[in-house]
Amino acid sequence: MRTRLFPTGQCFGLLLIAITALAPLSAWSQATVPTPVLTSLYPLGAQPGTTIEVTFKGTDLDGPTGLHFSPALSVTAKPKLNAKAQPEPNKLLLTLPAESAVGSYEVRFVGTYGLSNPRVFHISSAAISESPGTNTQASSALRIPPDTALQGTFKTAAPHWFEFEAKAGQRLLAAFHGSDSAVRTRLVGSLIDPKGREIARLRDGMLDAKLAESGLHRLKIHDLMFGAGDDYAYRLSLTTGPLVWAATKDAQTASTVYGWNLPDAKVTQNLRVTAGTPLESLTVEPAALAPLLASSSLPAFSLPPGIEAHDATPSPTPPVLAIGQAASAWFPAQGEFRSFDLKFKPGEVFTIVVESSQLGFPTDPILLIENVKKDAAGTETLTLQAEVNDAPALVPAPSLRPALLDPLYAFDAKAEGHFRISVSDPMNAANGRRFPFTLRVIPLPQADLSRATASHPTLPPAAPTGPIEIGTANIWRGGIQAIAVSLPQRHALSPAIELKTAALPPGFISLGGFIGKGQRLGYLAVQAAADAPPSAAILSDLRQTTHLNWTVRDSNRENLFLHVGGPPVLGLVAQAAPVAVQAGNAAMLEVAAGGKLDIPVKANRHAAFTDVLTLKVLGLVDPTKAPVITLPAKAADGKLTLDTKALALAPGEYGFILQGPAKMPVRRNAPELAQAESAAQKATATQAQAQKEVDAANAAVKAVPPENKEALQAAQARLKTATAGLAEAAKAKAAAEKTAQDLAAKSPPKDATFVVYSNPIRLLVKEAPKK
Amino acid sequence: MPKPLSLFILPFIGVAWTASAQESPRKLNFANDIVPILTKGSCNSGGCHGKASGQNGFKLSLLGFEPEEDYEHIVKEARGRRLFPASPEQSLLLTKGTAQLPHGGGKKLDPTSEDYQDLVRWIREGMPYGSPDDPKLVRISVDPPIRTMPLMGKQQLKVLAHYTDGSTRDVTRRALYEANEKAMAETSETGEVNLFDLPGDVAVMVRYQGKVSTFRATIPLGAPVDTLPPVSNFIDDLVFAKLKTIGMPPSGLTDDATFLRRVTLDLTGRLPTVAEMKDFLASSHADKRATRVDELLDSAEYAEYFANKWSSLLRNQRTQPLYARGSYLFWSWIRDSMADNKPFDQFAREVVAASGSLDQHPPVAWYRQVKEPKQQMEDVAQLFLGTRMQCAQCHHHPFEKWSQQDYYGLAAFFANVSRKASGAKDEEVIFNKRGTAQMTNIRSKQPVMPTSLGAQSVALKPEQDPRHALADWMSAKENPFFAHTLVNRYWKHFFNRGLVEPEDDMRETNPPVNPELLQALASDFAANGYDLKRLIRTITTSTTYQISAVPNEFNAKDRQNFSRFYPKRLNAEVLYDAVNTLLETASQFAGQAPGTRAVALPDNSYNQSTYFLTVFGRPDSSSACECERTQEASLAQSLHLLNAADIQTQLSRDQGRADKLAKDPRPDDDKVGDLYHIALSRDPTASEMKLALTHLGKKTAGKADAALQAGRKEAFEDILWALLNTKEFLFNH
Repeated sequence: MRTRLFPTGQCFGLLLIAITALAPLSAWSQATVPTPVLTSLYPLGAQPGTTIEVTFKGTDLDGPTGLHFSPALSVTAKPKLNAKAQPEPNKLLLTLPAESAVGSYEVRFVGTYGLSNPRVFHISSAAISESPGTNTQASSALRIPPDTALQGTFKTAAPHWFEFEAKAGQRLLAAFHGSDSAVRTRLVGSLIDPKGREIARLRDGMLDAKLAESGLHRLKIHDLMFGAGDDYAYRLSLTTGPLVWAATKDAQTASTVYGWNLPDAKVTQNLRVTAGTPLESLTVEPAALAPLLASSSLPAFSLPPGIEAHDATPSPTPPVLAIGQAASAWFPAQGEFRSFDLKFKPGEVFTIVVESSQLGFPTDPILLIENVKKDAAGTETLTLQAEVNDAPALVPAPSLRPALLDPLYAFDAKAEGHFRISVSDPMNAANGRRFPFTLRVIPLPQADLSRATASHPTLPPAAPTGPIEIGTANIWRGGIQAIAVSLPQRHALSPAIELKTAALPPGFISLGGFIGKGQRLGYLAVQAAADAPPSAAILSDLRQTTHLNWTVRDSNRENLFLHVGGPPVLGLVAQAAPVAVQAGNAAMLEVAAGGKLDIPVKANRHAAFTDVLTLKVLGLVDPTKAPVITLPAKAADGKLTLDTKALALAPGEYGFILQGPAKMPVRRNAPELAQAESAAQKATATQAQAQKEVDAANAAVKAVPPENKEALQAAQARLKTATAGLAEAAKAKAAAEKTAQDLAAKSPPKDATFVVYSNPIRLLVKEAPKK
Repeated sequence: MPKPLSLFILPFIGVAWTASAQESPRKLNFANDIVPILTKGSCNSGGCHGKASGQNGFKLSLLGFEPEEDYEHIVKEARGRRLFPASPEQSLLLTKGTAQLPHGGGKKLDPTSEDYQDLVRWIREGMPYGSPDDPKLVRISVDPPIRTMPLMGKQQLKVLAHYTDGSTRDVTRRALYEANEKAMAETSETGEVNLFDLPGDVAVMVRYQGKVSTFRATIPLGAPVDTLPPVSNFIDDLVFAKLKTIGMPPSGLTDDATFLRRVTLDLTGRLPTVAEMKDFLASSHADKRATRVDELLDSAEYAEYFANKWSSLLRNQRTQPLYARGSYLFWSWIRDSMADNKPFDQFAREVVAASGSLDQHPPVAWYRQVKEPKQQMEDVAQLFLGTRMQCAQCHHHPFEKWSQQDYYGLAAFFANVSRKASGAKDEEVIFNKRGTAQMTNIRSKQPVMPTSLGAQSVALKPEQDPRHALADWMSAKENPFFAHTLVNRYWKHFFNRGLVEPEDDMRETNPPVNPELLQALASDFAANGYDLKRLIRTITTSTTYQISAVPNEFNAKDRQNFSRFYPKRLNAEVLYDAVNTLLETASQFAGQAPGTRAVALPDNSYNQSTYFLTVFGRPDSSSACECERTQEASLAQSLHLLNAADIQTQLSRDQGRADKLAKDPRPDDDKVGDLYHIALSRDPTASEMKLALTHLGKKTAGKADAALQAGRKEAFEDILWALLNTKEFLFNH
């Protein structure tokens, strides 16, 4: 996990979490269908109402038409023209609406091949100072105001220098939008006073200095490992004002605010969230909260409602929680445990969940559950029930999944009992930091999607070490795209959940989805109509989406990281998909436990897709054991056989989907070629029409009596015009045909591997009939 | 307790004993009487039968630490073939030991010796192990324990063994002796100490049956100490007191230029700039030296230089390419800890009890290199407690009181350290796994609970991280190891010699040369919150630190009393940077900004790419021992400075220092002066200036235009080359 100092916005959570477990081995080749991959986007932020030049880098970024913002924002994007009025490659001019909400956005490139993966873009009112990149020496430091958002990219392995005038007594804070901005940079640096002394360090994304001297101060920043390149950008917020780290945001009661340089605040007793100075705390009335938050240059965490004061002394006897209740507090220091009691009755089913990492805090909680027995004298005896560190691994699991560091424990009480629930955060046991948590006892069953993680699935990687690909967000016309939805905290008794998405733009058709009773993984599918217009849809019904941030594995320096952000977004590619697979029907399929079920599968193929089609069942069992259906070359129909005995499927409801690779020739310049071919056809038609006119004119000339000189003259003139027109049409046809031929020759069709899906399938495995 | 072989032979032994004894001889006890003979004869040494596999089928416990096992091996093993009670002299044990039969170890016993007679009697008496009621050895004492002796003096020691019943026995002949300063004294097998002609302190370690004691000799020079430099703080009180005791007058105070160079190199690992030198020399402030110390302590270079030291000791290695991120993070954390002047007890706690990911807590990188609890304990003991515990893993520590129980007790603090994948390749999350922390003593096979050195085992709840308990014990003000080890380590950094040598081998049998000073420094350090900068300030503002390296007529041979400053060769990184400074060259290290100082490199990976660093002994960060850094001079080092292509290239490159000076229109003596200021922080002497100017004249005589320019450049190259090969440049003095 990478350090995250501040939340990225009000609208969605954002985490950078490394891949912890790769999907099992597969012989399948990886998808090679053109998919836009955005490896860098610069700048990382802007002010509302401004027009900025955006530079983007990546692959398959053909035919840029704009940038897509999530949450939705109506931006305008125009090509950046050079001196010859030609569009500059990899550049757009972006105009942000003046009323843009301050916060963090996911920004995706939009082009010929649909939407890219997102990068993060910050909109704030802070004035921006752009580093020219030449300020690599103290002597060439860029002069800046002390309140600004610094933006730049390290193009060489050298630090960037800045300088500003400040007065003694001022307090300067700097906060780095690093991992939050989905860049590789890990920014470190130093603040140097007018006497040349280093007076503060930027570490853990934070610098805090009380200035003792008036005069010119210098700030030197660089990547920790002096990394350089397009993806080593940064955005550093400098302020002499307050910086709110977190606050309870209750409109009715006074809020507790934590941060630095807060007006009239108290410095806490060593409550730290970074390696730097302790937090300050302040209680503010509801009316004063909004102005304080607005004066802070970064978004603040929302503390759990009712969180215990950080300096509260826990009572000697653990507080008692009831099922359905939650308690929020701060983890004790040095990895010590904080305990709660829970009493339950037979038949009660519940999940104990610790929420901290998923709230954005850099924690890795441990959940310790002990049975409490008391003897007649009231003496307690504790026996271990469970010790949980991370959420359990899902089987089956989505193809890409973030490490879920928050533990949970589901329990089906058979008898009356008493648990002692203790939580601690060993991740911060030695660094002196403390973070909040919420302990929640959730009654079951509960059909709830609120903690769902959605991701664009990929094929399993070809080898344990990758390559790992970005799951595409795009649907080709006529095709089906799936979104994996996982809910690790569900229990065997959790009821089935219908997966729905609403408000899709024209051309997108929801095929729905289903998470069976007790299942933790399901798939939602969306199909594009054959004539769907290019568009994009934000599936706001789903909370998070998971996608790879960095696509280029640099084995010597970096690891791949996942980005968990706002709801998934779907884009449309205005070209036909290789196949749409229909399996079964919308109704629930039924089979007796231990029995076999044949499911009809129909492949609606593109003419160019003639290969064998092999599809695997996703979401039912571990992918290594999943049933497979193979449709021979050109075949349109097949049968998937599910052997519930071999698959060890217990009676219950299941939802799954079919997934597989489909290889079809694709031209890189298909839209241009189609346009050229259309133009050639038109030119051919024009030529034919011109030929007809020539023929008609010829006939007219022949039909005119020679003595009728006037009429003959007119007919000959018509013939001359028609002949000239024919020549012109022939020339135009030749040119159009050549253009089409050239385009065809320039980019011959190449096999591309698509990842194709069926509609979601529901299955009910019934109790076996008694003999 | 092994039983005596058989009772039936006892009457015969009794007859023999009665017949031969003038007075009733005491009963022999195997552990008390027989094992010491084997130890004295080196029979159970690590190179002979005491090694783990024994020797030629006969195995003894190392140095006799396990007498019960030895009894089994000698008396019972191989059907008792090593002993022949009916005719004791024919016993294999004796015929081999006296070399009557071929013996790889040679003759170890003289048949006329008392040792031999005792062995014969013991065999004849039926090889008794002894009674459970027999007295057990409690301690040994040396008489005299301390003495002031003249140069070349002699002293016969007497060693008494003290037993549980209050009895004592003279074991002088059977004890082992070893001087800690071989250049100052030698010892005989019979406990005679012979001094050489070096004044100072020497300790003789005396060992007998796992117990140790020391004899300390103070050897005064006896010279008059009439005047002493002014006392600055308690260091001077204690150092000067010692100098008075031994009659060794200290050298005078060093001059400002030398002090500035010395303290700048020691605190920041760099040469003073010319501007710093001029300002400092021009200043007439009485406290300018203390002020300069404070300025240097506040500098980023101080943090970098000491981070370099700790990074190496904390094994910040890049053994895998993907370890780079972790080593940068760890180095950065150490550097910031130094800059922040993090209290040393907190620094140690954050390493010892490191938990979490590299991002959240970079010291977990230490656990990346130090994987097993035993290794973790050994490193912590050596690094923070100045105690080498390695020996006690397999047997009782030969020079210390630490047993295997102590070893596994200390290791048990790390028993629950666990790791899990962090998600990033080759990175782990370190955490303390809940449960009972314990190790198994490999000899007794019994579980051992976390136990601090010399303390009772610690009662811990399963959810408690034992490492915090260890850190609590370490950082307690009364801890006898923690503060002492650090102040000794830092003392050596500044004085090129620890109060205890080696600096991470502090034990009863290796006493400090100035115990009062070590105790005072440690007490002051602990009492002031383990404040590293304060410690450094105390040391560097002491008069002792500011004494000249130039010896007077009395102290040239002094190696341990700090009567003069002991010059030290610049270490590899500092020298590399100093050469670059002198030659006006910006370093080019992969993954670093151009011009990065070698002292600011995060890990060992640069050693391979930079031969200079390797040849001058930059450590590979593969152990917690300061000894990994090589400070010795070698022919390869000399050749490198004289001839290496990289040095020559930098000397002669365009826009290099020589080239610029050649084009500089200023008078030559100004430029020569600049070079001395940069390299040596002082003005050249008249003869040095004359020599340089003469050389310039020679190289340019009769030349014009381009040839003149080339001659001038070559002359400055020569002067630079000569300067960087001077001892004055290569040493901090």
